[in-house]
Amino acid sequence: MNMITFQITENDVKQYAAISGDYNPIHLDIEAAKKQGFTNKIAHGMLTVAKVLSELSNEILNPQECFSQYEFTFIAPVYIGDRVTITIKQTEHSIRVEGKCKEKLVVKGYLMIRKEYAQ
Amino acid sequence: MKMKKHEIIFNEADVEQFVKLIGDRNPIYQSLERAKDYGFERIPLPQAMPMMAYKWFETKWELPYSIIHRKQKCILHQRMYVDEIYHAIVEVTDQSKRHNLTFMKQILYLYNSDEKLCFEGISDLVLEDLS
Repeated sequence: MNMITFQITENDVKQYAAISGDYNPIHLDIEAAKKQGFTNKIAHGMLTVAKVLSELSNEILNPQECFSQYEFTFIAPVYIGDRVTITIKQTEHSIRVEGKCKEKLVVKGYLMIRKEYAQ
Repeated sequence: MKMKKHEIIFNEADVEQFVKLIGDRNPIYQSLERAKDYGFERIPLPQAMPMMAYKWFETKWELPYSIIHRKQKCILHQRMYVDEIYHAIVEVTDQSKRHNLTFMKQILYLYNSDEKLCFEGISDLVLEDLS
């Protein structure tokens, strides 16, 4: 079982909004986020997923492998500036992960590894 | 309910920007030469990048409801590459309403030019009426 920690910064969220076209104000405007019951601007769910996939790709996969399938459940919001610690449980063909911010579970998921090579 | 179909294409600069943001160090995304070193003829798309296809769909963000992203499932049927033309279709299914909440699945399908399904992104969303 491994653990990896990454941070989601304000700049990450701004850049992700530009790349994805997801300009939902809860990610970019603190007043809009508060109006919807959050205490701060929140990270895009898919930004958190993309960062988890990137960390797993860096740590576990060889360059030719990929994830054929993955599923994540968003349990609580990840706020800008939060550090997310993911716990990784790996079997031969799959990985289970849990992500926590300050001991609070925020995301969990599983991924299937495809051992195929370049097409 | 299907939304409009869009033709989409990701280029090398898009991949460079994406991997820089998420911190993916896999060499196959760095250049065509590095991708070829690992047996690829073109630069593959990073794992979460197909979901960026939503930027081709016009979305109004001043909404009378909040959108909660509850769950995300993605299936990569085939590797996807830069400079390939794909067709993106978004479908909304399983819509149900309870009190002021609307539950729905939004599915992004990406097909290659041979009409083969390459990617499915299934998003479970909850819309909360703010009025």
